Amino acid sequence: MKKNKILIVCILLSIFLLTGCWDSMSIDRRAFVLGLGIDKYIFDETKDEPSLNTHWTKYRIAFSIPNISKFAGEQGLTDEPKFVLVSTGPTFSNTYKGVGGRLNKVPYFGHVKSIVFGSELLKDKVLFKEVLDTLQRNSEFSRSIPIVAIDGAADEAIKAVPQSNPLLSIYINQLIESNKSETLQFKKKDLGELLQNFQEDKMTMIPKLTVGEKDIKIAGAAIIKDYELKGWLDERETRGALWIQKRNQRFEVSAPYEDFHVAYHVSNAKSKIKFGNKEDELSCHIDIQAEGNLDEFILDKSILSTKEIKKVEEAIAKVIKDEVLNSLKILQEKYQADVIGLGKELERQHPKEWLKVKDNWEEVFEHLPISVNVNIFIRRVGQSK
Amino acid sequence: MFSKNDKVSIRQVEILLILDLTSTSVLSFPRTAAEIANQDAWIILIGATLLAFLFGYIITRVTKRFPGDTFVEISSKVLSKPVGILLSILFLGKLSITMAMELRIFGELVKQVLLPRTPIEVIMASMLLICSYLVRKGYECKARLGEILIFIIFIPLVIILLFVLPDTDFSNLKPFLTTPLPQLLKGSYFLAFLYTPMEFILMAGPLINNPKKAGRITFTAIGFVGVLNVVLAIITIGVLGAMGTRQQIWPVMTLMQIIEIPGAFVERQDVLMMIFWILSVFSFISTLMYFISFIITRILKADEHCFLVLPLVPVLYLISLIPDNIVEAFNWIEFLVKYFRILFLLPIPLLILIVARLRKLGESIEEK
Repeated sequence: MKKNKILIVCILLSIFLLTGCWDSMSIDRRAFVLGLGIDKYIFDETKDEPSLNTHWTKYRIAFSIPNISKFAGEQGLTDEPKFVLVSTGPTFSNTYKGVGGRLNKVPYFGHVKSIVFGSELLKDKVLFKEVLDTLQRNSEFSRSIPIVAIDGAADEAIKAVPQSNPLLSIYINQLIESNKSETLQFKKKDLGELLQNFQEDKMTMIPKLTVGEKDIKIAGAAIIKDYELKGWLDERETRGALWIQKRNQRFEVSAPYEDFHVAYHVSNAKSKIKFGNKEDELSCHIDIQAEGNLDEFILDKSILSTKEIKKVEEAIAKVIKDEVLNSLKILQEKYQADVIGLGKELERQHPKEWLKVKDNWEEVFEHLPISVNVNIFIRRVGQSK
Repeated sequence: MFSKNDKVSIRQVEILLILDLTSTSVLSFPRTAAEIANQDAWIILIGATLLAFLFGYIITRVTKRFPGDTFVEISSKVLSKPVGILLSILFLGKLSITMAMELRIFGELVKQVLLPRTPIEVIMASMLLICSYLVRKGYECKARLGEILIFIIFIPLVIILLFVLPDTDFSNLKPFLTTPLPQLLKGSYFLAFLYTPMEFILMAGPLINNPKKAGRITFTAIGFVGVLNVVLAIITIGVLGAMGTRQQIWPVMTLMQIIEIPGAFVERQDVLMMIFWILSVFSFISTLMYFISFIITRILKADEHCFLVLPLVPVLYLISLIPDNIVEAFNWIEFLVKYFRILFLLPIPLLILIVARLRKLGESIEEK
């Protein structure tokens, strides 16, 4: 009997003593930050408080928090789909912790869906490094968050409301996910990959975000070298660079043929990079191979002859080759930025050669003779002959 | 088997050893390996595993030669009593510091990732208390728990690793073998510290119900853990790249953040990895605690280890709080690894074996 009593006391005690812990927090006390727009703070006399004009305010960060009760279909107090807070502060962490003073909930970053970097931040080497360090050190930020860059202010982008999904950060995430193997306009870059690029190659490309009136677009890329923005690639230039990098893609190419344009759907493309070394001069050869269908051809003209197909194939190949050469030229001459990973490929294929050129790879890359060969195969031509 | 509470079967020892071997540094060892050999890290892990087979072979030879004796008695018999006691105390000290540091790192990681507002003292104290509860119940009880834990830990772990595979870029492993051979050998020797828990076998002699088959233990356990380690290293470097692996304190945790389990609602898979890690650390810390109390029992020639467990708790707890921060704790472990790692794995067992053979002690090699 006595034993039973002790047991009961133990059970009761555990009920009272073991409920919750220091870290217990109910879910409605948390503000789930879905998107971050990080930018350098630039004092604007017309709008900002004069007290902000010190060297202590260096960041301007926009946080996008969804109105959960609206999405749950409850009658909330407001009708806004999301709230955007813009905060400033001396360090990145200080800024985002500082939001706590303005928010009735605890900000939580485990569900961040995308991060937008403003162009001013990307131009500032020190600040950008600080941001990347925080994102890497803090375990709340997942390494699979997609990163985009905007040529403008990041908080403006976060405030934008795309029509089909007012939550911009989720919209960006979905857009990138559903297009990642269907387009050559951009290449998905997530936080982990970004950090890895900087550590290994010192340079990278970040997809470029453009915000319109009621929609957004991700196309093109920012070239970042040694934590500093060097410039932007437009859509066509990005395409050319991505032909070399991407694999197993599906996308469209159009090429002028006779008086018309023909459309070609690539169902599988691959590129091979080879290096030659003649008389101590390094050269590079890129072999691109693509196969796919001819989607559009010329009405009333028969394509059912091998000769005709060869001619169309050549026309398409020429367009692609031009695109690739154009991008390579820009990367080599304008930016000296090997964002397509030729250096890495050289290291993997010829580690000894790489050791020789490793220290002045930028110069070597600038003058590296690169030849491009494109092979196109048309496998199917559609229903009409 | 259930009635006598301190004999375990060979299979159970294998399981316990596998648990202990994985827990020590499963979250961080790819970093150490990548620091030494970049993308060739997995090669030095193979080397380390081969080296561990050698350790295992020698240690089990010692145990087989003196069935029913622990390290304390063996060393006293073979190397004279004072030397034996001295070595045992050294062994005891090493285990205690290892355990305290393991506990500290456990606390730091849990605080950082899971419970940022809970005081680290509470995290560590609760771990210690629950371990001491298990240890008081004896080795057999631990073994039975191990038999349950191993399925909870390894089956989900393997499934999760499968989900990482699509993200793995095996070209990150190129170029092969650029690290010079001496560096590879040095790295293998260094990384053999992953297999330090092998030394428990020195103590486990009287606990195994069939010591003659002890050789099998090391073979299975090291083989299993070796394969797991090599695979983990390959995957980590494949996903994070050699440089990225070097940058992370806990690369395997980072790995877990990257994967996306299709259809799962869990956003932070790193927590899953934490669960498995906590379970195996629990197993490891309690094993250490068991052997610490067991050595003391044997040195004092006491009958039972139960009454020793609770007094140990505050001592170990205090040791674990000595380092100021995690960097210092890592330095302590590095110190241990540098000077004591190999001691009980190779030189001392080998010495015992040679001296025992010369003095014709123990059961001489009977296999003929």
